[in-house]
Amino acid sequence: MDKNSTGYTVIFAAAVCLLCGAAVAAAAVGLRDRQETNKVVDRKSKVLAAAGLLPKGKVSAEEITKLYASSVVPMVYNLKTGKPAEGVDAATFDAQAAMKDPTTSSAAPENLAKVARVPNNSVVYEIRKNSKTISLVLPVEGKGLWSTLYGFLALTKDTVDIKGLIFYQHGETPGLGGEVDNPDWQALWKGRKAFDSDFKPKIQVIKGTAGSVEAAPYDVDGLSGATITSRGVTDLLQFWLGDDGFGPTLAGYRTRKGVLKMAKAKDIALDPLVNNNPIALQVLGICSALAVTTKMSTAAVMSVAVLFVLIGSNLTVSLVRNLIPPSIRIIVQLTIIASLVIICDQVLKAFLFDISKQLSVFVGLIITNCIVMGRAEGFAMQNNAKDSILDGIGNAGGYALVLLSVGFFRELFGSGQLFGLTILPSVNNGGWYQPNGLMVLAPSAFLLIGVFIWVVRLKKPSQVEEDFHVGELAHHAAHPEAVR
Amino acid sequence: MEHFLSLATKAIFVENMALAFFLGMCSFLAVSKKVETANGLGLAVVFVLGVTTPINQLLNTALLKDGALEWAGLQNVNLGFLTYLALIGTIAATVQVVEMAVDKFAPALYAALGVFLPLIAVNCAILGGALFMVERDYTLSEATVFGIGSGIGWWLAIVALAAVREKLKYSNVPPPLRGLGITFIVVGLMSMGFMAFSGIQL
Repeated sequence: MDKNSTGYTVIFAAAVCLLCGAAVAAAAVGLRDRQETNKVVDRKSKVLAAAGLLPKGKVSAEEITKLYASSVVPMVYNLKTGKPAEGVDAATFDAQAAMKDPTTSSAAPENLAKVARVPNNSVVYEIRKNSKTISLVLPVEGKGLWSTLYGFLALTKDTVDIKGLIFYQHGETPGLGGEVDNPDWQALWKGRKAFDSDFKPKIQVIKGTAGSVEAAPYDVDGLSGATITSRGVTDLLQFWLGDDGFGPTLAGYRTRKGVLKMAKAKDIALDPLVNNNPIALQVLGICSALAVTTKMSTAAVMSVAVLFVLIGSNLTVSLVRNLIPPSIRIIVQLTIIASLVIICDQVLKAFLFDISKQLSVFVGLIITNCIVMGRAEGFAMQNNAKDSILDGIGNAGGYALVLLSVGFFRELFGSGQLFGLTILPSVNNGGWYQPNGLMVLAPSAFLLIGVFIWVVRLKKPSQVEEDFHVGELAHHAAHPEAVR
Repeated sequence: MEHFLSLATKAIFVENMALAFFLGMCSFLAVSKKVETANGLGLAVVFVLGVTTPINQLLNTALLKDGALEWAGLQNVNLGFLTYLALIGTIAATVQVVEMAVDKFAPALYAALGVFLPLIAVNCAILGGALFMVERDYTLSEATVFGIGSGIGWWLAIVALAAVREKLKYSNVPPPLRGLGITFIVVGLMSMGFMAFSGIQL
């Protein structure tokens, strides 16, 4: 046989093609199911990982499938309306495919994440435990530096806090943008807040170090050397959490589950205590806060009086808010408040005569206490009666908190007593404690509130006022490298 | 005369509205970032206190006090419980009238005080002045001196605080104390300084 003949060459080539083709085809066909399973299992494991359910170490495919089946319920939602989509099988729904198909997607409005098309429907993985939803996992994607990042974002059941963010597919620079896979970085996301209190997406990756969850609830450390990937992550989260992404779906979910109502009621009542304290942050109602705090008893009575007036005025103003002619609203509010204060004053004079004497003009001054006016004008004019009452309770609580803590120190150190009971027996009465006279005088109240604000802002750095002082400016000019 | 001088000194220094009685604190802290605006607000407070305190004194003696309605043949009527409402109403109305009058007859003054006048209606220094006047039973002339005096005291305090805060920009304050926190401490120290006046009798 002539190996160089044309016939031999052709036949040999054909035979090699046939055999190799058969082998490759056999491998591809025979292993396709397995490969598909791997891909599916990988997805499932990332969903679980984002939700923080994946056990540490090596986990077999069976375990993942089992865990997934027992705790994850995929639900398909219409992204525009936020309602569950009909006629779609959630188990086999492929968001990526739906996104590319022009019949099941629409062109996305211009966005920073460079998402070209938005699917009409998308999937939300509800993570359940004992048939109660504990978190929601959303598929997200967007452009990084080189590639599109595909990932899962897990939110807690109130849809505000982040449980985790995992990317399952990307082609970013290893060691720089590729650090999105670094477990240390992924761990930074847990506990941060995706939305602010108005449910606007606020989470972002910043340049540099963000600090603890309490210090910077909306910020995550940037990836060093990967500015564009970091920005890409911010943009894709902002997009998918926003109105063009899962915004309506999450809003629908919140309404259905009553999350909004509960969270809001809680916020309204608790927010003013520390986060938005009327005295420490908003500089309201300071006058009386200082004057009545030489003793705990006067501080307590004053707090109760303000609580009464604040709830009453918020409720009344809220009830008549749609009837008040705008031009005379201030005078109407003042009249309502003044009447409540008079009632309060009469009651105090009838039942707590001694204390009312000590409070002297300061009960009357509740009328011009800016907290009362401020909440009536700023909150009750726009909100319903129930919320207004809660707001009144919260703000009066925040006021009472400051009053009582200042009163505590002033009475304890000024006269060694609390609520008139001797705690530290003073020298004058044969004890050992030398009372600090300054504490009962006016200056100490200012100093104590100053310190109170200091402590609150030390714990809540977001409240720090950015008063750029000149010395720091000069320092930065001299040492530009010190500027973050 | 001596009596009035003593009353005025007391109102300005010893019983300073802002630093000893904590009155008008909200605007005291909020509007004291610049000397210029602090000066404007201070002047407006002097003006309004000087006008409303005597008016409220008249109202109080003629209508509200126990037995004040004797001239109308109503010896047993005591409208004392309406005091707060009447006082704050008078203040709000006076501020409104004063604002319009100043706008009409003294545009230059209005340009300087204008924005501060409505703010003052709910400034507790004004209501506080009126309430102290009622509590201490001042006569009309005493009320006038007291009103102007305590206004000047407040003016002095806010301008001084604004001056300190302007200088404070050059110091390196710990971040959580910046702004409101350090302002409170400064006011505390100023208040301590003003305590040196206590006990002065003229």
